[in-house]
Amino acid sequence: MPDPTILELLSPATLARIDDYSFLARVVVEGFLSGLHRSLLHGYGSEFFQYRNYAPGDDLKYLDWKVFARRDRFYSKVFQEETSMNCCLVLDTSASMAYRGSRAPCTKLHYASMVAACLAYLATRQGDQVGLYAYADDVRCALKPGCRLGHFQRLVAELARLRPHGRANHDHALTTLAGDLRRRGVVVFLSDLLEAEDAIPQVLRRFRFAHHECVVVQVLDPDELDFPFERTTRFIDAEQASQIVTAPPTVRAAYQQAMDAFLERIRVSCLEMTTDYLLARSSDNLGNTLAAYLHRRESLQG
Amino acid sequence: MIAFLHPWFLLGLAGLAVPVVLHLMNREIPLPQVFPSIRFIRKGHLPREGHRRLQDILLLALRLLLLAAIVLTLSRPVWRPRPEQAGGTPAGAGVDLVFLVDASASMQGWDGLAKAREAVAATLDRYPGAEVGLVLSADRVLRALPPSPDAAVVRAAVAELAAEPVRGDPAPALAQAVRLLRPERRRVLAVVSDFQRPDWQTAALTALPPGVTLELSDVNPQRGGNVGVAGVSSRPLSPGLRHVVVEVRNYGLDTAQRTLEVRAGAETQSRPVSVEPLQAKRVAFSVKTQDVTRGEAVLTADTYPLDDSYSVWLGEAPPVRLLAVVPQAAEPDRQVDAFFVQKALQATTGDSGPRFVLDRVEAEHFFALDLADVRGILLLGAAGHFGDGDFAVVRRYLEQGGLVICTPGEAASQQFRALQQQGLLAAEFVGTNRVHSRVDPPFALEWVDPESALGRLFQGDDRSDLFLFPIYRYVRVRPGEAAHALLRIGDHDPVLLEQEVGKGRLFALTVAFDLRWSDLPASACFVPLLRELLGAAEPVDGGVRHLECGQDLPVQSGASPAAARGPAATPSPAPDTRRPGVIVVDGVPFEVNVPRRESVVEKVDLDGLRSLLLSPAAAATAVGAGTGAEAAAPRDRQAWPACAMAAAALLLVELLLAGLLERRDALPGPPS
Repeated sequence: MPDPTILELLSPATLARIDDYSFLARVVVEGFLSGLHRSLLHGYGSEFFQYRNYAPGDDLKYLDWKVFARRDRFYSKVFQEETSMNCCLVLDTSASMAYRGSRAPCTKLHYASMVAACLAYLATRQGDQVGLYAYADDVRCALKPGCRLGHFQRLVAELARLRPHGRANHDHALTTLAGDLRRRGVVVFLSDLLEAEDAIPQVLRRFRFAHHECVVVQVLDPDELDFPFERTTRFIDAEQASQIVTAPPTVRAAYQQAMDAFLERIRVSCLEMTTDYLLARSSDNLGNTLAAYLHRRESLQG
Repeated sequence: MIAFLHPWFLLGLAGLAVPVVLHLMNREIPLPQVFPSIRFIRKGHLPREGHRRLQDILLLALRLLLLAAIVLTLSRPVWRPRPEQAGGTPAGAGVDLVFLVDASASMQGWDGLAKAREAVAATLDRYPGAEVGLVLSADRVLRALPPSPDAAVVRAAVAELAAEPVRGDPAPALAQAVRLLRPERRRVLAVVSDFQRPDWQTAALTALPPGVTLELSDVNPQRGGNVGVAGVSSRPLSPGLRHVVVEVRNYGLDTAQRTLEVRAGAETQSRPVSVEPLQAKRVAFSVKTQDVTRGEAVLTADTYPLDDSYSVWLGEAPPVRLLAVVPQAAEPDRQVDAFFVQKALQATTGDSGPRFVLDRVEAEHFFALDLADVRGILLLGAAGHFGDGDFAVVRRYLEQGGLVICTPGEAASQQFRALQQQGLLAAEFVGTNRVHSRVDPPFALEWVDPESALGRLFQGDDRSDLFLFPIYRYVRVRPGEAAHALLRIGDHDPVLLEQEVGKGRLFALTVAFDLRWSDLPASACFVPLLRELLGAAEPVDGGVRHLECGQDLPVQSGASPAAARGPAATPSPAPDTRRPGVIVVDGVPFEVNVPRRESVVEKVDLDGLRSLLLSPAAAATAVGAGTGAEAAAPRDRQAWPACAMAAAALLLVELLLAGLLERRDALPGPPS
């Protein structure tokens, strides 16, 4: 686990003050990964590259027992990527992503963008090709996967230009996106997935059919999960024109119940589609989110 | 019971509706909140917020009470005694009740006396058991009865109440009434009057002591108009016939139709008269006054009868008193001057001019004289022997409007120099001209100021009388700008100079009334000349004096000239001036009539009068001065300080509570 200082560095409150996503991603990833086992860097579908001396803590499954039998010494296998991976970051930029509660250091979109930047840096560091697709009612940004020099900078520049507005049309945008992704890779969905519980299974099914690996990162504000309001409030839907006046303390239990059901449905949908599902609060430590993602990656490799 | 000095402030209580309306409007306004999705939010029942509503109601109640306290403070509440106390204790127990009853002339009108008796009876009924006193007031305290348990004494005095035909002055009676109230008892002062404005507005009233309850009873708050005889003047037209002018004034707001009569002896003349509201009209009569000296002008009686008649003097005008001052010891010859003057004044001219009475006094006694009744002074050579004190008397006399005629004597140079130095005559003594022998032609007047009264008097043939008498000796003076020459010898030598000093006039002759100086005293022009000069001494109203009923006669000095006319008379009782009529004192007629200011209909403002008499100290220190009665009997005291303190306390509590609630509302909600 990264040391506490790294955790402080990776806190959203700290990172939200960094405007440069490129620098942010480098800080996060390098700082986060400095304490991790190098074995996690190993990509999926790697070929044997070389031996190296066994170091305490190396995964025993990479030990070459045949060499041990011959030499009576422990050696670990080092693999290299057979091919570079496509990593597509799909980011929801609808108006609901503009919300920032009193306990969150940034908006959901900003948080999702930080996660996307970190994942993009991580992929670029590994030699993978990473692309960025942003959508709301339509595709707003379509940066196809690449790994050339300057591609990461272009990606983070696009991230910085994104502004949340409009109504999310998950089905239309993702269907359009699915047609663009020819090569198989990892598709990471970064969205609050509101109004998407019906569209997500269809989208995931389409991507899975195309042999893409999908990771769904649902970014929500703590207020959306806790509904902590006390005063009588006129809630105005961020994407629709509807409003409702209610006394939150009286409907909090029902809200939480409905939200839990919604989250459960999303999770089940992802589970059914063999898709990793991460629930990220915009107040969560960014390192924890990355760790969860990387753990998922590891389990996929297993 | 509670009363309010400024009741119109109570209209502000209507503003109590404002906080209530604001409270009803100020329901909790929902906080707008943009939320990512409202799909999971239900429209639950808005909470009753019972706890918060209670706090709001408490705040509302505090604010309403605060507003009410402010309004009450501004309306100046006063706590007035009730007629009865709780428990059946007589309201008058331990009470000194003193009545101040107005008995001035105006109370005789508009049924004032009858209503005053009713008011006294009603007040006595409200204070059974009180010890009752009485002060009857007119121009002074007529009667004072100290408080006694027997109210019948007061009732009897009030039953005999009669109005005096004099003006009202309530100040001495108020002071007397306050002295009758005993400090150890509860004190009630009940004023029964018509509160006529001239009487109450001009009186030197002072605030009552603290703890005195004041009750004001207006006997006739609504009274109608009034018409009265405001004044009468008369002058002789011919022997036995006088011109009488009566002024009738309407004090009311409606046109008045009356019949005016003038009664003189057996003769009565009447005229109808119509007077517009608040206007006066003069009506003239020619009345035969043979052997009649007193008359009366009478109007048709109305609600106030005392001003419907006016007593008037129809006899001869009193003689005009003159004083001749002669230097008896220094210049005995100046008696001749006085003799000629006396003869000239006694000469009848057949017209209706004033009668003059000439008194003589020696110059050395001049300073001690009372000159109040002297209309003119003749300094016959006396000014040359006057000292500074005498000239001070002359100056004071002139400045007050007197007339002085001075002629030269043997000390002419001293006379004119002294007059110049005293600032009484701007003329420089030059010398004396005289005829030295019989062959020398005498001097004569050559010029009279044609613009002067003398110039108008001596016109045509009459002027020859003035210019023909020979002058053997005269004083030469050089007049200054302030001295005006009326007669001259030649172009430069004035014989008669006139100078105004204050309100009076000084005539200075450069020729004595002595045949050794000139033939003027023996000439035909002497009498008209002297009468013309003395014409300024004639009083405007012919010498008749006017007094109000109750007014004292002017004090006569023991050294007055009147005492020198004959043997001293035995002292007679002072004439009664409290009744209308005409009285003659030492030959001077006095017309005594009811004061006309009692005829005014307007009243003084009772609220202002009450505020003037009830000082703030009376409300702040209303100490129980009773005999230990358990239930604190109500007193007439100011209640606004208590209202003001209550308002301040309510404001403090409201601010504290509102701040507390605001801070609590600002705290963030509990974390999830």
